Amino acid sequence: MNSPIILLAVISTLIGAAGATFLKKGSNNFSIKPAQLIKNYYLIAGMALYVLASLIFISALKIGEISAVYPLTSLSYIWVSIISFKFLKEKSTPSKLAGIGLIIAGVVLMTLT
Amino acid sequence: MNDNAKSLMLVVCCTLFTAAGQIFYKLSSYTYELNVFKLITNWQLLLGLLFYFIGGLLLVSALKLGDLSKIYPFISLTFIWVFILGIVIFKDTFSAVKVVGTLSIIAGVAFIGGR
Repeated sequence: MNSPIILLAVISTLIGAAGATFLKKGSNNFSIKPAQLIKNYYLIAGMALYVLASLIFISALKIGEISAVYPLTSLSYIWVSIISFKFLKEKSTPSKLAGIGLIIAGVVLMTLT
Repeated sequence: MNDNAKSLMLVVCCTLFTAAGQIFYKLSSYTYELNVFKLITNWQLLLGLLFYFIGGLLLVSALKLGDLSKIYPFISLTFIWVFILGIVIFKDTFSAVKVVGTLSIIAGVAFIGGR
């Protein structure tokens, strides 16, 4: 797998993880009333970041095979875990660390295809 | 049907929609250009975004009914669908490295979501 794909996937997943964090914040005081929805800036920012992440990811899909490139989206689980450990005071259990390790191993294997 | 079962069904539907969204993204990449007009008229891209969005709504609905830790492992079904569809639709190469890598990622996601 060539390096532009990996770089694009890393950037895309970082932006996607930021989007997920904003969406989470936006879901806290969620109201479906249009007047409230429009003012839910976290929700709007989250969705915008997701769209941006998708557009960048498609650039990677253009170059590589989908079954090799799509699994790289799992990197976002790692970024979200790091965000929750550092900023949301969540515990880094052995199980979660093992999960991160397995994802990294899997991603490395994908880059070898 | 109890809430947990409903929740799992919603997650499975979510994974199907997400996988379909990714297929449309791949299809959109053939005519993909970083030009605003070209992007908003790229129907495969628009469909992909729509399917992804629906997948997201299904996931939110699933989370309202069930525990995140029970649902998390099933989100990995998307990896399996995309793997199969990649081979069937786009004639992707099939290799042991890809299978092991995908399985490792699926296991990793399950561990991250668990307690």
